[in-house]
Amino acid sequence: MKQFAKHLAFATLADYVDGQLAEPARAEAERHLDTCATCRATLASVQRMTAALLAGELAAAPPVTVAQAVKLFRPLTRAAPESKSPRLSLLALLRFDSGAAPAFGLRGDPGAHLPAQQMVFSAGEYDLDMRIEPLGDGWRVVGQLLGGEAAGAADLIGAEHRYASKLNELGEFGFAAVLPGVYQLFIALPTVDLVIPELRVGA
Amino acid sequence: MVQSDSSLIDACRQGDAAAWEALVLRYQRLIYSIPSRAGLDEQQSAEVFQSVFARLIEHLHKLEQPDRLQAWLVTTTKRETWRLLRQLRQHTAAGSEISTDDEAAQEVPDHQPLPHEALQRLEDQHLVRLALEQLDARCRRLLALLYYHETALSYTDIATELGVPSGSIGPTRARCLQKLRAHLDQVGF
Repeated sequence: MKQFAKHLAFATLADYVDGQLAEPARAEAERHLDTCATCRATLASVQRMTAALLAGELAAAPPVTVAQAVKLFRPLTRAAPESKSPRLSLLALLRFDSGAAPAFGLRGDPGAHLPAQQMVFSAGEYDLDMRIEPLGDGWRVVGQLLGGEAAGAADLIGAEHRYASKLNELGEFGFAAVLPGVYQLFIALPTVDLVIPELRVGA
Repeated sequence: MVQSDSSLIDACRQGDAAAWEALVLRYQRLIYSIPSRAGLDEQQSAEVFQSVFARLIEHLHKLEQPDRLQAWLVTTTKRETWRLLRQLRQHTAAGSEISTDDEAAQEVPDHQPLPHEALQRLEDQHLVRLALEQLDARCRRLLALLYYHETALSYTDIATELGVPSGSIGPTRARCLQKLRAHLDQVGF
């Protein structure tokens, strides 16, 4: 194997990195590397690439987690492909937050009045009045849409659980027995979607 | 041909759900591995994962440098991981808030967010995986057998598996690695 061209062949370097070069080729390669900055740079890049190939530290996310992230986009793409005006999607901004409801307290006591967390979001012409309170083993999440048309559906989507509700004629919707976690709330109205990208329930 | 991140972002901005799915699939390992290797469990890592992609949707129209999406995603993931770690520590510190339930009392991961070198390693692995996908099927298969197999395979085993002479494995490997390196050079590896 000819080692004394101007630089070491890529194959030689690859073999060297993997400890596949037998003597005397290995010793010859090392002698060359001692004197050649270019080959040392190539060696470093091959070592980095090989280390990345071997490391195996990238875990695949659980399929349900990936699926949930993919679904985040769906409510934003209700427009038919040939529709000229894409469906509007509005991000709801938090305007008021009373603070998180306590996770632990006098549960199951019918006389106990537990403070709920109240939040108000706004998106365009809409205000969204939300309330989160502990209920039994889970949480109740209720909301009311104020302003504009109030017919539609609401979806609460988390990493592992998903809840659906419909808006009544007063624009109210609710989810019962919600498990603690971080959720996205999507409200699909006739011509627009509202999105709360992060709603912490009991978390 | 493989679409660039910029081009996928553009398509997402037009409402292309398939482009969104491609982005999620492209980055899912990297985004998940950052909280996971920082010590968060599966559920916690999934929370970070969802937050990051929710933020991306939020910022889709505001991203100033779509060609630097990877850096944006890694930064956002670091931030979300750190937020969750901090929250978990606060819950533990509150002491009485934690019930006697064994699961709730599990140790809060005691890690800092990943140090720079560990993050760099994860990003390297991400880029290498992406570059691998751009190689021809024969190279992909060979490199997968050489580097992604659970047990170390000899050249003879690999040659048998691929139905080629064992003497061809070395040179083919070198050619495939060189192609891989060329793809990596293009993304500034």
